[in-house]
Amino acid sequence: MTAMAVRRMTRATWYKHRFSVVGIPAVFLLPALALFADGVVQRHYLSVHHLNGCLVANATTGGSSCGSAAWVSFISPSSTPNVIAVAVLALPVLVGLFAGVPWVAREFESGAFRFTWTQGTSPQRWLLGTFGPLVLLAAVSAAMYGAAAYWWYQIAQWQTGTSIWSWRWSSFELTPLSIAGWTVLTMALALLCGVLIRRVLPAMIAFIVTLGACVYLSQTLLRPWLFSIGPAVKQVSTSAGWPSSTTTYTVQTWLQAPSGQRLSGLPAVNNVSAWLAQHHYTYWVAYQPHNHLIWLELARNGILVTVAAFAVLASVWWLRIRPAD
Amino acid sequence: MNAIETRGLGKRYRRTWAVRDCDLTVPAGQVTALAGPNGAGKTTLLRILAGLATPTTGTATVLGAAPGSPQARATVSAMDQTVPLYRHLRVAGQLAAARALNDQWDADLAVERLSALGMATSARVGKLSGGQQAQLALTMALARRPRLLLLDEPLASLDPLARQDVLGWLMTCVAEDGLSVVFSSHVIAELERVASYLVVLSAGRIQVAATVDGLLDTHLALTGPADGVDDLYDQVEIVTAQRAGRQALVLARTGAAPPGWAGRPVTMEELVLGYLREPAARVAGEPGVEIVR
Repeated sequence: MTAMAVRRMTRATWYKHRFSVVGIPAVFLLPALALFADGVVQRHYLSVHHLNGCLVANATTGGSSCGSAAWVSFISPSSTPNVIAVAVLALPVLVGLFAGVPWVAREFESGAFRFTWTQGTSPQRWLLGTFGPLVLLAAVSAAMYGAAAYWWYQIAQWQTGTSIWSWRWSSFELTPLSIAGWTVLTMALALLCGVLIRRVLPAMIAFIVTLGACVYLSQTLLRPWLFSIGPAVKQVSTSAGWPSSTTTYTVQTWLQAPSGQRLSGLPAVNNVSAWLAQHHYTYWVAYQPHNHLIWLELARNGILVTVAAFAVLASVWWLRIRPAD
Repeated sequence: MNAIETRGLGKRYRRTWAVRDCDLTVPAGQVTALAGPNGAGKTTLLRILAGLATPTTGTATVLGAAPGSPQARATVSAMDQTVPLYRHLRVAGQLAAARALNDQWDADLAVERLSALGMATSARVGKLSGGQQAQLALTMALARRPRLLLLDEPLASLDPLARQDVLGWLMTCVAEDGLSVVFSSHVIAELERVASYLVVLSAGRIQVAATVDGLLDTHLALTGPADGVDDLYDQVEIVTAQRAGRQALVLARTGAAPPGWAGRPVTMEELVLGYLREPAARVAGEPGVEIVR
């Protein structure tokens, strides 16, 4: 598409989908403002009470000074970080479900697509020209929402008695990058379901099932697999030399004989450490250092965006072979 | 250049053929009436020509380009019988969206036409009557300044006065811009006043495709004795024969009434109905082609 065509489609999208164009950023930015405001209040409290140290990585509410802090947040103090994270992550899903699926499926259901297709605009241009601005808008808004959520979640973790650890799934998923990545994927899956099924309600159901499968695969296969790629390896002793458990992710530990052979299990002796030292066994750990986190996050979200790109391509292809029959 | 050319065109929905073996040539500059009973395939044919549906078999061209191609989209305008509009928009928003979507847009034409109709641009499209929506859709189709206009039942939701007005407006556009128009309608009597070319579709197949003048010049309504119909088959090409007691009314392809029969010119409505009563009878191309029975 030429720049002129993109401008025209963007203008047409504004006229046709004003509600979505305004609504999608609003849905992300209003909670972001709420999280930001809550975060400011709570960080101010910490600052006033000289408790800023509570937000460092290894602090928990278990600490005496941090534990003594008590304030009212708009979240329930009894909520676990996981529940909070799921609530925060639900927003991209809801946007995909209630804004992404209907915008294309409803056009087919109502027949309104015929207006655009008979106005000198091809189905492909209609699809990409409408989807492009909407998904861009959603991704940018989601990234801003993610930034506020990530900033606020540090307090939420601590407040609910959980240590702050960037490798926890919830921390990993609540970054601006991850929320933007999931938003792009949800919008692309919404597009695909809408183009394939062309009825709002069945497309919504298909969207939930498809997205659920993607989330499951990401959590159970993709993330663990990515975390196991290219770890740093280090020799440690049972008591010293270990990488920081608050900033790194341990992939694997093992015992190694002088010959290089790995020990399959610990010997049944009273003093294991002494036995290992006596036989010159060494202790090794494979771990992801903190500076790997951003690359792994980029890789995971790159995969989400790639899947989204395939979903968009599949939508365009399907529209080409089955435009409107 | 021909406005429309199809060769072996067919469209199947599951096991049903909506259009089949369709060979059609419509010259440019004609106002073509597309007639046929419900389910004959008129909408499917128009949707294929508008690039809204893909054919199962055969080929089609509109003004020499494949339907749906950039060249075709630039020169062909279509109005679907469902009157597709964004009903949540106001008229002004709908016009603005259409303007943004088109390379060529005659805003003056659209505004003048809607003003003449007394349609407020602040009105919500969904709140307009069916007739007003059809008028709005037709206005937008013409504001694109197309060279070929495909209209599927454009008169269906209009009152008689509005029909006259729309047909008059269309004729003005045809006269001023050399526009080719194809429109389907059940109101055959009204098509007669404006159509110069007639296409009759029956059960998905082209039954008649010829100029209206040519068809009217070569067909007669014959009245005579019912028992003489069998002999008449040897003398003229009979499209359809209806017996009522001792009298028979025959639609025949002939220039003169045979002895013993009274002949009079047929109206377009009689012609269309006559062919629809006899789906096996066909006239394709210019008059002179034999009726296939």
